[in-house]
Amino acid sequence: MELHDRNIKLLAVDNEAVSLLLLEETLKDEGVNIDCCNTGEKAIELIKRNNYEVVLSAIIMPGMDGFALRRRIREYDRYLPIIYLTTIVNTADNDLLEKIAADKATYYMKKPFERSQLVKLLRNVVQTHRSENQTRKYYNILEENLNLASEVQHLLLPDWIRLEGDLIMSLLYRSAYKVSGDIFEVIRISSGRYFMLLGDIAGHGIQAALYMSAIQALVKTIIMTADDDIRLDDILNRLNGFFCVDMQDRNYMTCLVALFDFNINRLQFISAGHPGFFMCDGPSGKMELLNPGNRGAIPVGWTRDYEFNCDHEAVEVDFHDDSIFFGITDGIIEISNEYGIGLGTERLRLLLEDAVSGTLPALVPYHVCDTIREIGYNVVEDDVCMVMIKKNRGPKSDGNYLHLATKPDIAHADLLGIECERFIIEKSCDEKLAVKGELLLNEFLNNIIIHGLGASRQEVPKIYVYLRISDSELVLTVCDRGKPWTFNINPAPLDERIWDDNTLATAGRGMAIIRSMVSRIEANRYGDLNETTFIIRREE
Amino acid sequence: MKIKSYKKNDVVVIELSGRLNAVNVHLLQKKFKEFCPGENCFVFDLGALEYLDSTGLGGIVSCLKAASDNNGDVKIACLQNKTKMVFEITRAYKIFDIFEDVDSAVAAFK
Repeated sequence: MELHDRNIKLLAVDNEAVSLLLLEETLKDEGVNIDCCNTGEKAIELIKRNNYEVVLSAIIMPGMDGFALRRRIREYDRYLPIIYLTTIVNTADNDLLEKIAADKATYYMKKPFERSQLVKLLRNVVQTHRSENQTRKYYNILEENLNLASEVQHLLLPDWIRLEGDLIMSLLYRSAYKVSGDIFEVIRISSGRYFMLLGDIAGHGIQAALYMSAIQALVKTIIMTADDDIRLDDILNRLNGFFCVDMQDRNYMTCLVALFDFNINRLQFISAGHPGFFMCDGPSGKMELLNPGNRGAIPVGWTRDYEFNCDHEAVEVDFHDDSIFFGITDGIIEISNEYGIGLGTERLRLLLEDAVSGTLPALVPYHVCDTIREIGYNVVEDDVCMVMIKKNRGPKSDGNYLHLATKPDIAHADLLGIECERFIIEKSCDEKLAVKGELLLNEFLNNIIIHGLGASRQEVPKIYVYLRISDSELVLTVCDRGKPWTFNINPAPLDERIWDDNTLATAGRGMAIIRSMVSRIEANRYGDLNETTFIIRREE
Repeated sequence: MKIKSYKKNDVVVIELSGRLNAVNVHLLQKKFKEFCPGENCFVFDLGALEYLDSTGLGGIVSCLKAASDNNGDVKIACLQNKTKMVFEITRAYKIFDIFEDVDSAVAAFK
């Protein structure tokens, strides 16, 4: 908007009435709406109630001087321009210019001045202010839109933890610029069989994110409408058609498409210009990058004439019940340190191998990303996505463990407590241990849901629970995406006075009960994920 | 959770069944308020209560406090194995008079 489109709204502050009168006279007929006051306190009141575009102020005033007035104004408005009109000249003693320059929206005009000089300065200052306001407004709208796009994108993705039939999957998904061009989807085809797509759209930001949204929807449609005998090459050819024909060769995507068959423990995948799977062979704990024979295809969308073909491009791998698979997009291996050295595939392989030995598989992506940052690789310029997939043998197997996941609401958390109790009874026939497990889980989940989730509750990330029971102890691990925990993790006997203290009713009573039941609590935080482990020693 | 109530010898007996926890403790508090301040002697019959957590227990404790402030009491009756364990683990048994059956609890008010 041009300056002459509307009047300037101005506040003049001076303890000398004559100066204010002179100002009013000077700015008459110059398109200025002027309010006047004679103290800093009155000025603050007026500024709170009015939408001024500029303040003209004296520096020397009784009580609140011009600089004190500026400090108060900045509490309400960081950008409101202030023009000091003063007879003071800059000296080494008063540092006038330095004080004025300390604030970017402060200007200065020495009295006496020509009317035209003041009018020119006023117009320039207000023009700049209006223009900057407009820029900030656009930026804020853009920021809001990006935040919304980010939320929508997260809704399209699977939750960070998924337990479904015989599948356990966890996902770490971080955007370099609020929205990401990385794609991930796992879809159940039939009992024990799952289709997986992990992709990376070329480019970043909004454009890549829009492609991501379209592909995510397209893949779901393809799988849902296909029969059970889906072929990976068919899917890649259809995606290639989308990029080359529908989107007219404007972009491309590297990806891994895979079929996990947990009935026969076989994985088939095609890498279309994408890093292959890392597989941790259950019994040995060795981590290897799967790509025997260096098979693979070109990225999807490079050329419309290309025919993807399983016979030449698919890799087939047999695995154990305990094998763990990790898929990545290249953003993670491109994370670099301060010397510009990228993490690389081999270093990532070693970190994964190290992490799987002491971490719950579902937490490995979070653990590894945390370690990458800790060892100095913290320059992230691309979207980062890492997934973990493994077979869930479930509580009916010979294993004395149970995986559970719940929506973060109290009613669902209560159901988890019931499942936990049943499992402990089934595996141990120890009724008291079962009550302790159920009580502990309920108390801690209530804590997370009521106190821990905070702002991130909008995204309703699930809470993951892992139980393991042995002859000597019950281990209960709870993983949530809430705020960092700061509670006392030392076990302590319970005092019945907790029931007298009303302040504990809303926070603290549950943790006091938990601390009285356990022999040890361990708390870790990996990025934005809390891992809290409670160990209850079994009684003789 | 379900709540039923009846009077026995000037004592209000409140029967709780199901699970008492953060999901539904407000229902107990609402029901209890219906009796205040006119009544001050209560027996909580927990014979059909399957489970309660610290929030549920906190609800019963707040009833005890309200009754005590009104020169009365809340007594607990018919704790089942599981709820008894919760009372033990949480030390709540130390602040309540606990009875095997409702009649004994009611009689204790005489």
